Amino acid sequence: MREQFHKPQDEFVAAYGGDEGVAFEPTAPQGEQEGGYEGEVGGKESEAQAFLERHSSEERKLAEDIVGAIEGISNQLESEHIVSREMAAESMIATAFAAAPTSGVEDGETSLWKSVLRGASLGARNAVKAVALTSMMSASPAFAQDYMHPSPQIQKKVDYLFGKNIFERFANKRASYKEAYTQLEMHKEEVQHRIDELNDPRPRSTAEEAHIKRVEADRDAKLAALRVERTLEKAAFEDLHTNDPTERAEYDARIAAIAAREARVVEDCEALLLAEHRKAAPQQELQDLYREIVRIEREENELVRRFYALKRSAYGSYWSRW
Amino acid sequence: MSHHPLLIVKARHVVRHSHLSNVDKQLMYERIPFLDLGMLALFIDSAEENPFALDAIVSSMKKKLDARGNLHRLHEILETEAKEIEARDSEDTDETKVESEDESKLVAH
Repeated sequence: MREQFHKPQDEFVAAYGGDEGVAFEPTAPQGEQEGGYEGEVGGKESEAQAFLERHSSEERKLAEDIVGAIEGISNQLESEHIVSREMAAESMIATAFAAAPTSGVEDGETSLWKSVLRGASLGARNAVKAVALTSMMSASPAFAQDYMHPSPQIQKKVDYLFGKNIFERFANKRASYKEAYTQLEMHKEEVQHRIDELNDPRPRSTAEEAHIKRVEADRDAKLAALRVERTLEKAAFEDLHTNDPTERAEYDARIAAIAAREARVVEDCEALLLAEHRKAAPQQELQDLYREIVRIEREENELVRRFYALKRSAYGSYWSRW
Repeated sequence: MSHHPLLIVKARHVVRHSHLSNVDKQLMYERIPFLDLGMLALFIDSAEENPFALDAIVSSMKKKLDARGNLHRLHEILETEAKEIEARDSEDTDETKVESEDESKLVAH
C-alpha cells in the first residue's frame, strides 16, 4: 500500500528532476520580449481577419480550441510551479510544429507565438489564433488530436491534484466488492437450482411405482371390504324392522366405527405415500442447501454494507475532513 | 483529451452549475481537460452524487498547489492523504464489525 502512495513522488522526481522543480529561463531574444513584433502583428491581424472569414464557424471554433488548449496547459504548468507559462507555451508550440511538419508555419510566425504568449497585445493574440488556424488547416487530421494531449507526467500530476490516489483506491475496492458479489450471486443460483431439482418430482423407478401401486391396491381392498361390511350392517338393520332406540343407537355406532376405520385406512395410505416421497428428496442435503443460501445472503449483505461504507468514505466523510 | 470530449463537456457542466466561486470554477476548468478517462468518470460520478465532493476536491487541490511545486511538501500531503484513508478504512471496518455483532446477537435472540 505504501508503494502505491510513494509512486507519485517518484514519478514527480523522474519527471521534474529535483526537490524544487525545474526553473526555466526565457530563451527568446530581448527584442521579442519587449514587443518588437507589434508592427508585424498589425499586418497579421488584418490577414487573420480575412483568413477567418474564409472559413466556417466550426473550423474557427477548432482553431480557438487549439489556442485555448495551449493557454490552458500553459496556465496549468505555471500554477503547478512546473514551468513558467511562457516557456510551457513555447515548448508546446515547438512540439506541435514538430508533429505537423507540413503546417507551413515559418520561423517568424513561431516567434510571433512566443511574443503573444509572453503577454503581448490583444491584436497579436487574434493574429496568433489565425496562425493556429493556418497550422491546423494545413496539417494532417491527427495534428490537433496529437497536439492537444498533455504529457503523461502533466496528466498524472493533474490526476493526483484531483485526488487520483483516493479515487483509485475507491475504484479498486468497488470493483473487488462487485466481483465478490457477482460470484456469490452465481453460487446462489447454483444452490437454488439444486434445491429446485431436489424438490421437483422426478420420474419414479419401477420398484417405486410397484410399491406405490401395492400401497394403493391395499388401501382400495380394505376400503372395499369396509364398504361390504357397511352394506351388510345396513341390510341386517333394515331386516330387523325395528324402531327401538337402543337397537338404532347400536347400529349407528357400528356404522360410525366402520367410517372411522375407512378414514384410518386412507390416512395410513397417505402417510405411506408421503414417506415414499420424502425418501426420494434427501432431506439432509436440502437442509444444508437452505443453510448455504442463508450464508450467501448474509455475505451479500455484508458486501453491500461495506460498499456503502466505502462510498461514504470516498465521497462524503473523507472529503468533509479536508 | 480529445479522446473523451463528451466527458470533458459533462465535467465542465457539473462545475459550471456548482456552487463553487468563479475562482474555484476556473481552477477546475483549467485542469479538467487533462484528467485521464477513468479519473474523469470518477470525478463526474462523485460530483454528481455528492455536491460537497467538489468543495473537498478544490480544497485538496489548493493544498497541493500551495506546495508550490515543492516535492517534499507534496510528499507530506500524499502521506497525510494515505494516513487519512487508512484511518477512515479502519473506522469503517470497525463499524461493520459492530453492526455484524449486533445483527448476530439479534439473530441469536
